Amino acid sequence: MLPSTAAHAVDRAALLQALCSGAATQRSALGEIVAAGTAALPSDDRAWALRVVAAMRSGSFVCRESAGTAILGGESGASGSVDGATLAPLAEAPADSPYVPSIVMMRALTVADAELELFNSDAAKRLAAAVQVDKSFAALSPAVVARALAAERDTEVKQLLTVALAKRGLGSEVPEERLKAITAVAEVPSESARTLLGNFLTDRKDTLDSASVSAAQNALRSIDRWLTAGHVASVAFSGLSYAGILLITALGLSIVFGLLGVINLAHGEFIMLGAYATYLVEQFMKTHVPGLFDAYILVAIPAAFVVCGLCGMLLEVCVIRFLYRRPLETLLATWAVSIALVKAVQLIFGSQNVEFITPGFLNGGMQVIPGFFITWNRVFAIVLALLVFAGTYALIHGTRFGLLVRATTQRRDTARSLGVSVERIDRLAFGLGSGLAGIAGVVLTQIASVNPSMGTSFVIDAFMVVVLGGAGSLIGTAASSLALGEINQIIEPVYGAVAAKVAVLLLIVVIIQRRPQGLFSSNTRV
Amino acid sequence: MKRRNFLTAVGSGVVAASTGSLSGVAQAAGDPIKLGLLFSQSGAMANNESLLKDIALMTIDQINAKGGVLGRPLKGVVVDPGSDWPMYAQLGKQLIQSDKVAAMFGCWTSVSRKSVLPVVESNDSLLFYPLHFEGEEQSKNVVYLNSPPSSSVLPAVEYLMSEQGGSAKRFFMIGSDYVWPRTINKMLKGYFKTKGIPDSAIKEQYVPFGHSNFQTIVRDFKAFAAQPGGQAIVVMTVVGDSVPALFKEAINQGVRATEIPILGLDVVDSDLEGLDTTPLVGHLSCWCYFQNVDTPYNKQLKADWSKYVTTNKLKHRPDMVIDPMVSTVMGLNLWAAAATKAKSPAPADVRKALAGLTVADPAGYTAKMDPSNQYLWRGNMIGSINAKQGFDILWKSKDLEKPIPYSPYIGKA
Repeated sequence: MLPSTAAHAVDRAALLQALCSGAATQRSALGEIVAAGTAALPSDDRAWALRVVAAMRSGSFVCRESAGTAILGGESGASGSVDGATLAPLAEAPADSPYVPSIVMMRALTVADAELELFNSDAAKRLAAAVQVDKSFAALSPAVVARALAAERDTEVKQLLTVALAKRGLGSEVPEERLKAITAVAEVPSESARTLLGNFLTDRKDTLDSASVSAAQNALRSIDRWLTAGHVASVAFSGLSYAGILLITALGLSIVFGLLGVINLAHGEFIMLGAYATYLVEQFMKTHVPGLFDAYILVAIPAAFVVCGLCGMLLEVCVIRFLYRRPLETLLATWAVSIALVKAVQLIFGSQNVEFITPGFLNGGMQVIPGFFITWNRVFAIVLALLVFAGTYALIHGTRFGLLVRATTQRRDTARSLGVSVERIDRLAFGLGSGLAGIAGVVLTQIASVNPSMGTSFVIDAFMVVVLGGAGSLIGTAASSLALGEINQIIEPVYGAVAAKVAVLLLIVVIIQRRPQGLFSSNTRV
Repeated sequence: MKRRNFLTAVGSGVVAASTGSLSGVAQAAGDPIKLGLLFSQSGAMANNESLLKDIALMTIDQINAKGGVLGRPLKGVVVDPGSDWPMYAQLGKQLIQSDKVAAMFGCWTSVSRKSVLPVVESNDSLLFYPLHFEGEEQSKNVVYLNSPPSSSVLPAVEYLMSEQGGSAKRFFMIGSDYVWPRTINKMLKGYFKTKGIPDSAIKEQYVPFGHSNFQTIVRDFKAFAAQPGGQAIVVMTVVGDSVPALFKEAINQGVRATEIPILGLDVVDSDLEGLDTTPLVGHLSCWCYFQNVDTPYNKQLKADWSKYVTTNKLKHRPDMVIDPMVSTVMGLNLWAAAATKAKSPAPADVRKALAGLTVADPAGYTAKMDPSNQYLWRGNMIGSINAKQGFDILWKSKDLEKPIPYSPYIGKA
């Protein structure tokens, strides 16, 4: 043994050896490492234990056939690796492959890491660790958690640890302890708390006293109420977020198809161009302004709008303006444009999905109430859809440009004879519609896969929304996306995603039959 | 026979008199032998299938550099079925009838293979199919280069049900709505029944092909996992673009492998490309090859691929090789060996020569063609997603595993 390890209270080399010699000894060795790392005595064992656990979790822990274990990726030494026991730099990187934890070990390692972090001096780290300990209460070590609880000052952490211990304490034979545990569990309603109490009642129904039973039943009822509320809220949220995506993809089309009457099958490709514009902005900001990298998504919104708007105007000038009032030819021409755009992008960027690094503020989500979890990328989609909708509505119904667009679309010849340059208005409106498609592309980078053929799947949905809502009515577009989104998400959990799609399509057929002009109709020149 | 040998050896370019036996492959010696590459370069499968097309072209170059087959160079004929299943049949027919290819290499999804199947059967051609799939099929016109579920899916599920794998007791099966996921799940249900797992512990759901909104489904995972009855896992058979979409949602909703492990049967490194995989660490997949495997042949193959990608300025990652790519390479080498052995590129001769033939596998095995059916014996591995957008090898079979085309569990569901 090396002299430096001899000074430690624990035999690090032997523990690591045990970690490396198979499933049988692994768990107990890990337990001892955690015990050493959380011992009351001040020592550097905590840092060592954390380092070992982190290395095992991240695939940088190497069991060498000879000379003990090593940890890869240490910051010191020429080889970039350190010895597992002494943490001294190694001259040579280990040749063996790193250790890959099994699922069981990974669970144990997650708990071990959280237990070690309970003794961190940083309160935020302790809180995160306590949340993890509470989640995996069944695997925690009561002695370690009790020690952490005794030393804890933060009330939130304290509460979490008490609940975690209480969940384990449900099995207690002392009725008072059991009651305390039931109340503690009931205070934090969740699906797993419900399962825990349910199991508790069924497994031990013959041996329980009546006070425990009624307390548990009451607790179950209150948890159920929370969960139902959470479920309703999350279905509504899913529907809303789906509606947000439908709305933002359909808005541009509602101008191009609804107001101008152009059946633009290349609309989906403008969405795709918007997504690729976002990609270019992302790449640019990654290399040139890495400090503001997270803001790329916000920078991309105007960028995609301008790029797609200009492309749209170009398309209008070169193709569409010759084809007004000839829907069939427009359909064929824009279809050709759509295929050409897909292939062109494929030539430049390749057909594979492009990588997007989600900005930090769109990662993850939060639990609002038990059973109701919102994710930030969906919230972003909803908020942006609403903002873009509000902006478009204000533009069409509140400005002179909007007035001219409406005038041109409703009575084209009258508008022309009154001196309106209808060609210019057509071009600008088409550009606006295409630009809005670009913004949809920006949002979709955070939700869907981005590749040259992504547009096709959205263009059908977008047409569906516009036709159902009534061509030419922005309000109709918004209402029909909301309706389609919610209906889809209400059906999906019960009958599956395929059935949801079928039901929505059938519904649209029925509505179009009864109301061919759509739910909200207005005069257009079609 | 002697005379033909001589002719091909000198590559004289004279039409061999004995080409009568080369039914449908009437090419002059010295002319290239054409091989059809039936992989989509657009649509939902483009991401994955274009990798197979390019590595096939690379392998053809390599074989040509070594002097080709039977003294003739090989030529890959590339078509793009655009992820549109009926197009596979149409283009397959074109490859066989107008391009007169000696064999085809192609398809990713089972539905595309099923679409080509009648075409290769009626023209008595050969399709080398590089994906692991649902089994339940055995055609003399298809060479199955990868594992049927008996030697890929079942060992992985068995592992997850073992104590080491976390003692899974309840199963959420989510798949894309087509033949591969449905057959796999049917087989799994039969298997679970023999293990005494009640119906209440199994949930089965399908999404349309290319589905990307997984909010509700990931929420269902969490609700399912929290219900009583023991550890839950997700058996995921969604394909193509749905894979990264599902993973993205799982990350955002905080599903971790330590709580709900996801066994993604069609997940390959390329699906992880755009994702931050740190929150995905520990989710699983099972294939016959993962690129982390430490063998000299694998190092060589990876180096070759990386060189090929950079020199040809391809839009792929130069540092990524996935199982179906390796299977495609092995398929081409296998075809070359069989054609050499048969001294003829005609499908019927190649088929006869294939039985019992062996081919080196970068995963460290020597794969072997089954003598009685056209399945390749392969080794098998379980991989665990790591933080570097790849897989670490969690478990590796000691030897080749016998492919069982027809699962005994299908009827039990």
